[in-house]
Amino acid sequence: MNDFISMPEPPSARSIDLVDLTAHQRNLLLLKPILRLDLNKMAHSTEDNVSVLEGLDTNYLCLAALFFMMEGAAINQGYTRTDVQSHVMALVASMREGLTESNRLRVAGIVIDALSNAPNKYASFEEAFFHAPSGETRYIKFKLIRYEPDHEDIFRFTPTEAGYVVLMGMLDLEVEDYQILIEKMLVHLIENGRFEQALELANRARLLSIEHRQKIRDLIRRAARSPGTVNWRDDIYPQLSDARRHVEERQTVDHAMMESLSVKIRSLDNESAVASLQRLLRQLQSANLQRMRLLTDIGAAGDDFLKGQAAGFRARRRTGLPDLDHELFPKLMQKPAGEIARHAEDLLLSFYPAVPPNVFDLSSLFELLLERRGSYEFEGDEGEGGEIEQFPEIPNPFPDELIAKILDWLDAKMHSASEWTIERLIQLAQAEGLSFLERKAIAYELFRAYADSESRYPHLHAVVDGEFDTSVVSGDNLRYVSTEEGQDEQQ
Amino acid sequence: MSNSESRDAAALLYKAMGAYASPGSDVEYRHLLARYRADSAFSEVVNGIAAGMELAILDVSERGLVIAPSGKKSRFSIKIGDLRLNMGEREKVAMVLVHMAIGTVFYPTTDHLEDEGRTPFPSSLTDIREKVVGIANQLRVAAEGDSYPAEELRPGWSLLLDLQEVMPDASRASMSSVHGIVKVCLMRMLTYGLVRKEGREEIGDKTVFTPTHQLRIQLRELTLPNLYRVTAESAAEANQG
Repeated sequence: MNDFISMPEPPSARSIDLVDLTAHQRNLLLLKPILRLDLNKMAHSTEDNVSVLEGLDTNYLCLAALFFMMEGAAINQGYTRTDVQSHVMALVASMREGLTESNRLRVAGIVIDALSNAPNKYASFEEAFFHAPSGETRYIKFKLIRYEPDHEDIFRFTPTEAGYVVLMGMLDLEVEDYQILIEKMLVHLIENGRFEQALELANRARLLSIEHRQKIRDLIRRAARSPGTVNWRDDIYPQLSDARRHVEERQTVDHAMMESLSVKIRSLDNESAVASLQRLLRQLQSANLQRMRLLTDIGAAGDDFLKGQAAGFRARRRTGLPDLDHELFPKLMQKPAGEIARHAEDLLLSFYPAVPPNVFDLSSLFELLLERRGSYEFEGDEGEGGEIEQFPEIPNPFPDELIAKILDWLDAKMHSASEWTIERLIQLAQAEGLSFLERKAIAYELFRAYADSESRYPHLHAVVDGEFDTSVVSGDNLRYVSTEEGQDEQQ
Repeated sequence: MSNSESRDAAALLYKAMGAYASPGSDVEYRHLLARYRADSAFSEVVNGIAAGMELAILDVSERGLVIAPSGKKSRFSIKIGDLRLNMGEREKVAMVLVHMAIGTVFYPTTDHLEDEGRTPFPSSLTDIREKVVGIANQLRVAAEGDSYPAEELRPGWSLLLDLQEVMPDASRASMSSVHGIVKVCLMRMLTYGLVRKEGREEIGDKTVFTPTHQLRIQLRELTLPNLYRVTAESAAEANQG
């Protein structure tokens, strides 16, 4: 500590080396959906406000469901929703007694929904993390399980790669490398007589065989279903022969291990030791069985592909523009979403022919009305030379001072006790030497006073009284009679 | 220009605009087409009317006169809202990619597009969905890492893989699964005479679609050059950067 303080440079001035932990962070975030369910247990309550998940380990349920789906991937192409549901329901029953059937079904639903992100329309989970090498926040998207139709169009759950990572204790080595690693450890443990640990590892070895098989089978399936999109010689064949070599090597090691185990079993007479060794042997045999099946899959892949290709034979010959399938479409798909969006409209509309305009369709009418037009800017006379008529601006004929003046004049008259008519007021104004415009303004003000709501003089009420004719205006003569209550208020 | 000449020219354009008009079943259309190809004065008139009405003549053959709006401002152009109302940016991107996938499934190579003697492959909704998801998956495998710095820099394939491939128990076409988007696109293309559906029943997973002559010409004359420009543009930008 003292050394630290006596250092010449304060620690804050030193640049901090950011360790790249992306892989770790990624694996950590994969658990978030499962942990989130654990945190939000209270959100799923029954009528009497008790969480239906109370006393249940949702983490375990999620992992077990995931594990079960993986088992399904080994046997079938995954398990159906009903399969998974009943499995989870059985787990729930053993975890907490006394839950009704419908509540257990509900828990199973909650677990499956949490894994498949059902509240979010089955979209991928998205998590943010600090990406140390670039120093920015990044996002990863992942799914834990897939729910897809198999070749018989039955929807089945299988774990995704991310799901396998969650299951495999956060170690996402390439599955092939992992298999070799486990195998080395197995050999080591068996040689040292640590059979319990060996059994644990043999379990993992089996899981890996399953995952490996699913991975290769996906590849084969893709090739067989859309033979036009893969190049057998370049894309599929090398991967398959790698897989075959890998599996064969594993099998050799498997056989050696099983052989040595059998020898050991024969030489032992301690019954419990024999039993544990036999369990280990069975695990190894099970893993081996997966590999044998995989070899069969790989063997048949070539024929399947040929069949698929014969069904949709596509020769490629290049002329002019690059091909859609091989070049243009993948290139477009690789571009950032923002850029595709910029060109989206042009590209989309270029697909469609000329159609009669249908403005009277309600939807296009709304579209037209909601369309934001650029504001019009006058660009001088450079344009087409069309004639632009200036919009004549009509000046206000009554300036503010004039209005103020006539209102003063008028107020004095109207608030006096005598009764007035328009005709008399206009004549008076003329007699007092008010200008033509001023008299006109007076006339406007007086006619406005005809409506009580508009009137400047609420204590007076205008009534029509014959007609009049002056040099300024002519028309119905208005007589302003006082209204009692109005008068009271005013004064 | 005689009266009948202008009438005939307009009639030819009118027939060309019908989504399912075919010279095979319309004698007058057939005659007008023959006249367009033989009589240069007549074809001039047709071209003039088309240009004045903001229409572009893409192709003339015995299969018909193929016209398209001369641009998106043209009154004959469909509006983006005709495809689907209130589309967000992501939906537009998905829509473009699926349209392209449909083009790709029918005409995987330029040769398929250019050689009118080659019949395109009849394809189903599932074929198209698998095509687009397949290519997206290939790109995902080829891409380095699965993280991205910002939403708009996210590649298009990632956006598609984000969606559920098939929404279980969905009966209506919705934009929330790849399957649904393919269905929406095919329905629009059906409305505007770009694809034909086999059978009379409603669109299902196995319903077979075939492209029309119009789609081939649109792709060949407009979409493909347009797409090539867009992809080349970004390559040039990448080289500069």
